Amino acid sequence: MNENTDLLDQFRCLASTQPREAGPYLEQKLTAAFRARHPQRIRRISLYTAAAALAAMALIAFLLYPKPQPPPRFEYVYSAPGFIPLPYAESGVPLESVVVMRVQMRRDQLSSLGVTAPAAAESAKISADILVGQDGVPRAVRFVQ
Amino acid sequence: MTPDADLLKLAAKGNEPAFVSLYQRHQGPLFRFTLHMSGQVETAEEIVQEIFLSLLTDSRNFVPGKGTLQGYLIGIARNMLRTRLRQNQRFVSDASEPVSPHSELFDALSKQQDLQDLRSAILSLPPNYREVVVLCDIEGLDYSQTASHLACPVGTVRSRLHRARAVLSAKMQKRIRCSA
Repeated sequence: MNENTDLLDQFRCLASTQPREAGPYLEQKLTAAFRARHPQRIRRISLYTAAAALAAMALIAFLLYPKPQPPPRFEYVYSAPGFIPLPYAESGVPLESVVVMRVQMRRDQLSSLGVTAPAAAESAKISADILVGQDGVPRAVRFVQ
Repeated sequence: MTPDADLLKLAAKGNEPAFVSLYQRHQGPLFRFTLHMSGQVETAEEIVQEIFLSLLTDSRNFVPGKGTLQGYLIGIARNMLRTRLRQNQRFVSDASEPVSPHSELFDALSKQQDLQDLRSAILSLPPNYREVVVLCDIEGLDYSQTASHLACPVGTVRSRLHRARAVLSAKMQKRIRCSA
């Protein structure tokens, strides 16, 4: 029993005289090894962060800056009395100058433009004014009484 | 305190503070175990380094349900120590004994000599006896913790410890008789 107690005392003494932890340089070496193993991840994370920041800045700029207003289309056409805008003629090109051409058209030709001729017009040819934009696209039509 | 398994997952994903926390939590007991098993500070530090490097490369071998991370790390340390033991045949006690400031005094020298003899006696034990002495008597773990770390029944720990202490007592008594 006594021998065991002496031995246990010596164990305790031995434990107290020995270093308790590895040297601090070991932690530094392992941290360096860890960083060497995960550099791509760190770089990828920073890339993601930069991309997210750019996206956020772009969104803020988009929301804050006033958007250019599109030029009013067909305003000129609507202001001209009797003209009916042609449904396919929204070319996106602002109407700057126009030419009005008087033509004789058949009912079916008018229908192909998307315009229904007045019911009164039963004759084979119908007189109409075609409003043509500076780009050569017919924008509106007006029936001649 | 964040569980080891969570820290391990974070470290595997590249979280450096998680890895450092794991290291700081476990390096002490691991270092002491390997130090007392090998008797050499350099060997102990090399093994601790290798263990944490292996954690870096593949931590998926640790299954939290099967035991503690410390037990798992001690298991790796035991395997590494066995490999080194096979290579070196026998560990030799480190000569760099810390020098007492009163080493000129006879009793301090005598005490140092006693500890040196005890270290040598522990190192001369078979590894399976040495493990239980280191974990139970030097590290102060209880039988069940030691059994868990060594993956053996508690009864085996008891019997190995009993025999190891008997061998150590005999060696120490023999030394006293020789020096008398």
